[in-house]
Amino acid sequence: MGLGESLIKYSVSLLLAFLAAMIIISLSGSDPLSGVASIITIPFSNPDILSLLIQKFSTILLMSLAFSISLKAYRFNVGIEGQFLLGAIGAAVTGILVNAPPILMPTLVLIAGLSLGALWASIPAYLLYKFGVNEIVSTLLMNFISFYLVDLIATGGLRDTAAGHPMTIPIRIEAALPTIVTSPRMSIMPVIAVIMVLGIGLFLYRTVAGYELRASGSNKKASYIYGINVKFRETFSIILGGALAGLAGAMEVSGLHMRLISGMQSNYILVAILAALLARGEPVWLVIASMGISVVEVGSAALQRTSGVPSELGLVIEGVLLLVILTFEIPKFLRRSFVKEVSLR
Amino acid sequence: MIIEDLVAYILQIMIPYILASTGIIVAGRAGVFDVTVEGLMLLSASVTFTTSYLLGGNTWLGVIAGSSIGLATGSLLWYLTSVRRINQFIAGLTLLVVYIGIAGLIYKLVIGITLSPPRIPVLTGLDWLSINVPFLGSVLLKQNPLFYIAIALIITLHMLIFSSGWGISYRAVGENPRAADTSGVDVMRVRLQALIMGNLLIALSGAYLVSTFTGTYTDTIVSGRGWISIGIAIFGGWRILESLLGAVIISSIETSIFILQASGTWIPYQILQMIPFISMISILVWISKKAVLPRSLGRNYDRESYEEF
Repeated sequence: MGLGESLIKYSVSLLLAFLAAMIIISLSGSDPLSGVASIITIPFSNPDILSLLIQKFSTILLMSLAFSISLKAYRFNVGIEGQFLLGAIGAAVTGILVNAPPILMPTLVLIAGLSLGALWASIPAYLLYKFGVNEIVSTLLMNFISFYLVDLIATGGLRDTAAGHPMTIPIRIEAALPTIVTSPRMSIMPVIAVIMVLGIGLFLYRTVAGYELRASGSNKKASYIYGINVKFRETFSIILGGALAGLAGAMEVSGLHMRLISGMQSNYILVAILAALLARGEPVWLVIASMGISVVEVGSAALQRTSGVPSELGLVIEGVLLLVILTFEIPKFLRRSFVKEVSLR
Repeated sequence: MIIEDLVAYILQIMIPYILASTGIIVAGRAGVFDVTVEGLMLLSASVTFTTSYLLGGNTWLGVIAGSSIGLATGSLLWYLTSVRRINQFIAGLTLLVVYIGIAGLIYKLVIGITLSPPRIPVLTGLDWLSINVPFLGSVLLKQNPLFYIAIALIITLHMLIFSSGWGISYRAVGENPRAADTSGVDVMRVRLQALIMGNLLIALSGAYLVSTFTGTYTDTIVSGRGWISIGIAIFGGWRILESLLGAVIISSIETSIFILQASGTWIPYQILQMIPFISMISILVWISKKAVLPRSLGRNYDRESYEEF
């Protein structure tokens, strides 16, 4: 597909998505044009909301990267929500209970989150490897288990009794991530997220293991015949995704909330899936897709506060955008090449 | 007395699972793996509630509006997967997110953000029987009308799909669409029928949650029932009557948890709430070795393609 064609495709999709948004905004009794304009401009209007945007962006980027890595192996790791929460649990428990030298604490907290996320993902990954259990169902059911696990810990021995909502006491001050900007406070979350995207991008496109992972996703039979351990690559992609989602959870605990909060998963899973599908799981495009989605999310949340338009507007805009883009795709029979590059069909 | 209450409770919570898993099987038998279930149930619950609320608490009209959503969603999923041939899981996951968004949107647009959510009257059991039938009679004969509609629907569908001539060509589309196409079955049309029927059932399941269980809508009203229903469909080997057993098992587990909780056990309620999900995963592992599934499940059919599928 040529550049001009893609340009037309994406601009028409964007136009239709914002048309849907304008209809919804006028249904809720606000001015559609200024509503859409403020969704895009509000996130950049002052330093506080800008820092919120960058924090959201970091988490969404890591979460969508976690989903993408398994998408590349043609597996759907929809358990990123649970892996995120397990990472948050690991970070909070480590940050509260472990008493290590201050210099080591942030690293320790992140590693704890990362490994717990990977561990949580390795359960459905193992079930897929050993028993062929459908990973979409098993990873999603694991999410529900993790909600109750978070609730159990947030109302258990580490509970902050002063707070009304279930949450743990704050982590140690040494465990907090270093900051890059002090006012408004901004930790190194975006730096970690971007480094991870670069790392995964290099892994996927510059290493043999990454090539084999992509090959398993795009043509299972051919990969198997040429001696790639397809099942192992699939399993590995889910566990790697779990580690990344766990890292995102640990980052939110040690860089933003400073504690484990029940319900901190927000709607990250939904927007991360949309971002990953928009970007086709390509690490570079993920940065753009996550940024766009974070802007719409922050903007529509702000619009709900100022003019009462439901914040679900954001999800609908992003979803319609993806649906229109998918619909515009040329059906496969028009390009009868033997090797498939895109594994999305 | 106690046994009757137990059976009544199990029957009550079983119906959403049965309806949703039947919907998944109906679509799956024609080769479409519908992963939108959770979102569609939420959307239908939201539409059921808001319609009924706007019409001054008419629950039945709400149920009709909520389930007829399935007509639109089924056609949409069909268009994306069969006409545009977008990967079923990708189209499904996208629609899932869109449905969740629209569900919350509709509720907030109609009701707004309130501290105490409004309610609609719930459907109650029939009371047309004056005599007292011994043992389970009073349980089985005094359910709400939707209960009987659901049971009638799934039995009819089971007979249609698994023991009728039409059912053979229907299932052939899910097993080997090329063979079905060659022998003159209109694959596109069967898949459209399948998705509309399936989505109507799933939407009815969402409507049932609002109209019978809660009488009010919350974001957590479905809370995993859709995904468990997919598990039940897999457990039943993608056969409707066999998957009933799965629904009975899960409902019995939920009932035991309810009893344990009511008895004031020392086990934290969060642990108890995890059990249905843990059991579903264990059931999937247990069934995995002998699991059967429609052979072209999850694959779009492309008449012009050189590949096998």
